[in-house]
Amino acid sequence: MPIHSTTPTLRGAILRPLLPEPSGTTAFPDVRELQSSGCFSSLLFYDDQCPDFCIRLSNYFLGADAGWFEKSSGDRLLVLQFVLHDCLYYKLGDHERRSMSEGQFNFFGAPSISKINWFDAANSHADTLDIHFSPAHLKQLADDYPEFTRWIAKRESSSELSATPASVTPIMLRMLHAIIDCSYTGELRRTYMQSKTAALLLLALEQLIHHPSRESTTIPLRKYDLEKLYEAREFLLHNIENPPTLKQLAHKIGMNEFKLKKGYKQVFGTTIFGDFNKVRMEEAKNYLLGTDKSIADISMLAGYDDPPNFIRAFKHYFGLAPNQFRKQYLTANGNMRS
Amino acid sequence: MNIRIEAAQAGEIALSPVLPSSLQPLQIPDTIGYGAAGPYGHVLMQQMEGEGITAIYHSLYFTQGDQVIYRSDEPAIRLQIILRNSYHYESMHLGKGILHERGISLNYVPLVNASLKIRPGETYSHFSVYYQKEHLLTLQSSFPTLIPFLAKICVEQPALFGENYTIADAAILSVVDNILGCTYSGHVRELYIHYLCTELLLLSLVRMTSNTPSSGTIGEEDAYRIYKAKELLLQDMGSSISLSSLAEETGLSIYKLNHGFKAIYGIGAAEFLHESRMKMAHQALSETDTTIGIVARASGYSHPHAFALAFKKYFGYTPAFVQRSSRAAFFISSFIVFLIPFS
Repeated sequence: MPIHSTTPTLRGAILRPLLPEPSGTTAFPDVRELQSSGCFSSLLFYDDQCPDFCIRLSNYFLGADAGWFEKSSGDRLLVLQFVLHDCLYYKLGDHERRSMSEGQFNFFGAPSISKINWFDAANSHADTLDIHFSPAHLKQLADDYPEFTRWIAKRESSSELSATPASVTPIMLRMLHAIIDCSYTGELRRTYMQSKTAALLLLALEQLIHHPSRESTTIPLRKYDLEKLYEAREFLLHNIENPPTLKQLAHKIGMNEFKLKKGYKQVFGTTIFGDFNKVRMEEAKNYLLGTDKSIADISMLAGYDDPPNFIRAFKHYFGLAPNQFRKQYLTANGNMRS
Repeated sequence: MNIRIEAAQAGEIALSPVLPSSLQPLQIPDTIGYGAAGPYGHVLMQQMEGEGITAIYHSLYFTQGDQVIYRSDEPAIRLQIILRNSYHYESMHLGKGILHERGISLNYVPLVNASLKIRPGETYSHFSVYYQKEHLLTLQSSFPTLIPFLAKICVEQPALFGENYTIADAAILSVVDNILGCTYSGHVRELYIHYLCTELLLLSLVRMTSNTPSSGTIGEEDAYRIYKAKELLLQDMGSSISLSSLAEETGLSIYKLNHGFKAIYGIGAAEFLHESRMKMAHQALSETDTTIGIVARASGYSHPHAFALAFKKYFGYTPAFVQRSSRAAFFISSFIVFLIPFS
């Protein structure tokens, strides 16, 4: 597979041809080769190896068609990933496809490395900077971020630290540039990288844990807009049985659909549908536990035309099917109702 | 660090952990402050801890000319970076010397005993970081000149690292800014300060050992003329004051003016002005709601596009990026205020 190099800013690059099916040599944090398959090629420019962490800058180049790229290994993945250029679509474990765009970052964890990056045909190339940490190194910080400790302790599941990626701040971007442009070598480089990555990690955790769900594209909202959004929420919650469409709601309060959708999420932290669904589900729960109505009746009352749809939604929300939910609640409470 | 301060004229200055009310607005959040204020002026030391590394931000202001003596019985391996004014010092161990703004010194003294000549009505500030021997030991393989320096420390002999006068570059100053502007608290703060101080030592060592040609020396009086020129430049960054009028105002020749800027800051007057403009613009964009157009004009650019290009060249990102990330933070904080009547 031919390798194209287009980034002139990188020094000391170790360029290796990518191996097709490597022989299980991929062991973090000493990775040297990446597996790749698809119609693009990938380069790894440097791979700073320290006992505690490993920094990798990856450039993904794409051919004419959309492609994908898979990383897998038997070791645990704990990686702080920054998208430096363009957009990265990825699939972690059995989760659905998600994306991170330029300037965003997140912390990923998986019991074994199994992350697939996708590329749309429109993307010509994407760059990421990944910092892989050893669990021991992360433990140093564990005391200070209880949420982070809890998240690390979940060894078995693949997940992101924050549901929505955070955006880099100017100070973080300066650190990223310093890491990429670092011209030191040997012990000096290691010491430098160690303090840089540690400081960067602290800044990243602060953004991911304490300022979560801050979308990169926040829209400016005036006081007037906020009042409108409160009005929209009020209206929505009072019309649960007969829910308005997004369009109707936008008309009702006098705000365009885009602003309504974006602004609603920005202000209330959930989508309009999420809010609406929450109320419906809580209502269904009350019927389920407070009355003897059949599941089919409750499904109608909650505004579902089709009971299987309701059951699926209920299970998704509460983790249990409605009949199981009712049964469990009733046994737990010694069948108090009768 | 247990530091005692005494002045020749004002006498013993008793530093108190409870800051006098006049100094409280100057305090950096989450630092341990020691201060004293009186008719003579004020002294303020703000201490930050970073897992075995201690950093102190010193500032002094005296209404009368004086001689201030610093004393401590503890040994100190310290990196000093002068942030404001020229430090004309005489140390019991290291002898006489002068460090101008942005001057860096790495030294070891078995105990602190140094006097500083103070001019009336001038603010002095510097940043000192106290390291342990272990921090230097790990770096000696990369910096062979550290070996004789460490050898002296081991036998408790005073030592001064490097022979050339070293000037802090933009990278070093930005790390100092980050340390002083650290918003963390508790253990995370300690870790963060530790990492940044390690980086500061590293960058300073690289700077001190690199063979940058000396930009010449400058006398004390000329240094003050340069500081005056700097004030004039910074007063109105929107207008482009000419070098010749600057020379006229300060009583220096154009040659001496440029030469003086190089000797103190390591860069010429024009570059210094550019750097200051960029930093001011960055601050205005990240801390206020000012539009890019206004910031551009305040930085001396008549066209925002030219400003954006220069900004991007200097920082590596656009002014809009700074504005966006600060807007997001601003929106959240203003929103919380707005929410209170509802909850």
